[in-house]
Amino acid sequence: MSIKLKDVNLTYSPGTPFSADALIDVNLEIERNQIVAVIGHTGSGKSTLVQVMAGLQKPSSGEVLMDDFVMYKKDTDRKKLRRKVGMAFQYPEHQLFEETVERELSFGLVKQGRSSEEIQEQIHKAMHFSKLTDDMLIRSPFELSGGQMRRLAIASVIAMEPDYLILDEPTAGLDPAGRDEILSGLQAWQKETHKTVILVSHSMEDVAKLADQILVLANGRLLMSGSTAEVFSRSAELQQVGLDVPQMTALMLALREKGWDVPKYAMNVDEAFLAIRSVLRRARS
Amino acid sequence: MNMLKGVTIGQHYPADSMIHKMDARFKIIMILLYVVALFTAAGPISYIIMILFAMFVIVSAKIPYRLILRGLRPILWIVGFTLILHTFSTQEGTVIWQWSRFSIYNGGILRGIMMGLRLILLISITSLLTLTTTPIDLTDGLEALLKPFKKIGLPAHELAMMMTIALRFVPTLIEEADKIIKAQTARGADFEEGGLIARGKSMLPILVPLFISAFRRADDLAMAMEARCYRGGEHRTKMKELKSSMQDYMGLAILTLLLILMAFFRFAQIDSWQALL
Amino acid sequence: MTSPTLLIEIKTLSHTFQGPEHQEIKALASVNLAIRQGEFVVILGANGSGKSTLAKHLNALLLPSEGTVMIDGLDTVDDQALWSIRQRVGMVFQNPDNQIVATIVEDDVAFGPENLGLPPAVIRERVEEALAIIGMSEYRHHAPHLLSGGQKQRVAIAGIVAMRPKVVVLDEATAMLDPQGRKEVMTAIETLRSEGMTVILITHHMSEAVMADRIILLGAGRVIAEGTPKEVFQEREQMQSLGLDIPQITQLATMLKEDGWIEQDDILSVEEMVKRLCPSN
Repeated sequence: MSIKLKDVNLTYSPGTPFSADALIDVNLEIERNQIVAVIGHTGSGKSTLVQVMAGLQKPSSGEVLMDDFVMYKKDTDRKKLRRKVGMAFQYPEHQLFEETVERELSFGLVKQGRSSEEIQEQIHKAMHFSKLTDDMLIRSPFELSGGQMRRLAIASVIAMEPDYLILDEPTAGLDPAGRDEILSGLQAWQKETHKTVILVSHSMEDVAKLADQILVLANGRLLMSGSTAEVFSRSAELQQVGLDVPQMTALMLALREKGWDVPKYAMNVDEAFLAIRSVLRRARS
Repeated sequence: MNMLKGVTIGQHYPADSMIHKMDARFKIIMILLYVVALFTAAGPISYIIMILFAMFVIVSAKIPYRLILRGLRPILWIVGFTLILHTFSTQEGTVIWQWSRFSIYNGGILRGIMMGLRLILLISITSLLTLTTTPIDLTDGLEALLKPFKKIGLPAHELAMMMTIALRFVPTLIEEADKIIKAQTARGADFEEGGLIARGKSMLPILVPLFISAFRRADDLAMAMEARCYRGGEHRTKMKELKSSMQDYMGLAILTLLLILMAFFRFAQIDSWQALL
Repeated sequence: MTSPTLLIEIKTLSHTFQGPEHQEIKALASVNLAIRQGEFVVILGANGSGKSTLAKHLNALLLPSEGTVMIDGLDTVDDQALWSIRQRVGMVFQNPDNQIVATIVEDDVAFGPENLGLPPAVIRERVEEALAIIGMSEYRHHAPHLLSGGQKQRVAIAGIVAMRPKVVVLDEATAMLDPQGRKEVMTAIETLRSEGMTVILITHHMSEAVMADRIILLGAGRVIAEGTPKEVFQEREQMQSLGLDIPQITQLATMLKEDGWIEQDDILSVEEMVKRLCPSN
């Protein structure tokens, strides 16, 4: 049970002077029950990649499989596909359109033909993870604050409870408090439902905090795929393709250059603290 | 989306030609003169002159033929339809083919060809205008031509500004619509199911966000324009001023002559389609 | 030595407006602020702190409910001074797309000077100059929708520079950009500063705030604190209570200080931390 991409290539406007290779020879596999981050420089193909995974962008060549279900074939069951994978684009609050929050949340579920009991259950579950309150149900989505609208838009995708939840920069444009709310909600949702969350992100600190697996794209190709620790310890390669490393990792590397015996990688402030303290303690004794 | 790429009206093709350099005001007037001449043209000789003239202009503008042809592709079906319509409905001249109730007159075919040619020339020449003139020159030209009408209350500057902003945002809005469509599709929205009413309703998830976004953009843009000291057309100058030259007046003179020629041929009955029947 | 000119003087500024349920919302309460020529000031605050409202008072897009806002000696409530104020205080907004009016870059940069009624030759000069300063000269004939977010913002900045303002205000101008775009804008800001421009940056990004000469911390419409980045970031609880991040490196510094390994925790960058931990090298 996984998402598999086999020899996927995607070229926009092929055969014209505007043709552009968005994805080149991509082979990857994403297992279930984890949080995967997709990182890469601007224009590396991240957004294209996740859209291919979401069944929204057909590749020029190659195969895309989701739990052995083949996408992009003439006879592909689209309705089945929509139940398996959900996607929230950048600035998802720009897609809100319903009269009430409740209708916005139920939109996808109604389209799936679910019963009203199911719909209510799903809506409330989604609201719990997105920290939306019941009093909002009857209000218009456009009365909400920016942060609330964002959470609503994401909740409307979560409500459909897809096996694979894909989000393109879910925290774009939010302040630190807003980002925290979204990310902690996603983490909690994933922990409880054991589904797979795939997110595109530019914040290395967020990725370090949340991700189990990281996919690194550069110039349309998959440069690296591995655990968070594995990927961030290859900082020289990351920097070569225009990516930053999380601040704590950058510190570890700088200290190692000074001869310090610290790991190549620190996931957060606490890890960095412990590593530095142990060196300082040894130096003292 | 791909259909939109074929439309050449509205696109600009940069090149170093005499036509490109001409004053936008004169080009607009010349197009109008050409169109009037086209509708005045009354016979095969006139049409041949009009076609040759158009071809001459296309060559001087250094526009590749395939661009013009590509711009004609979307309307080919209209041309075909016009041809067929006139062929079967017009009853002038002599019958050249008959089959039970259907008869084709040679006059019908002629009229069909004439109408088709008109359409083709119309589209080609109009495309030529936008291909050889930058959007800002076009709107500046229109603004200048409409200025005399300010006296009767026509907001020439505001209209021109509206056009510029619309042209600027069309590609942006198309991109946004595309994104919205994808996002709603991802939520299970279907735009191909159901009858007319159902399909109309299914457009709401696209239209509502698009409109809201457009209004928001308008708000933001107005604020940004005010912040840059915009306060309407009064006391405003332009970096690119339209300057007329000898070529512009010559072009105007040539187009006027063309129109006079067409009118002459028509009213003096020197050239007419009847002659071919 | 005379102190630099006082360009912006804000006294007991309050701004009240009506909310959606007709309640009175005080977006700003008794704000006092002084900004001098050549300063790089960052106005830091979470969403809802009033920072964007404050920004809009700087060029009279909003007028005070109470108090005064003086720009280069001109009062923002003075109708006659409106356009002079807006020429002196240029503003770049958050959404890169919704500031660009024209169909090609150079025409958009010319928009401001055209509004000022300058002669065409002068406008042409200003546009070339502004594009060169911001490093976008090769894009002068490009259509804006084909540019990246960072490039669009740079075009917006060039459009302001062409008006030769005294102050450039960037109202969350990097909020919608990716890291590369943000770097481009910050580089443009550095260039402006090297030319002596006064810059006011409104943001919630720590990485941008650390470069300021002075930070003004806003919370619930009030000025909570003012000082150099080091001074302001010292107050951890204050920052956190306002919903703001502290750079991870500074958090680490505090932990090391509390554990007795370093004396001072006023560290804002990786380089500083390394220097502090390895003094001899």
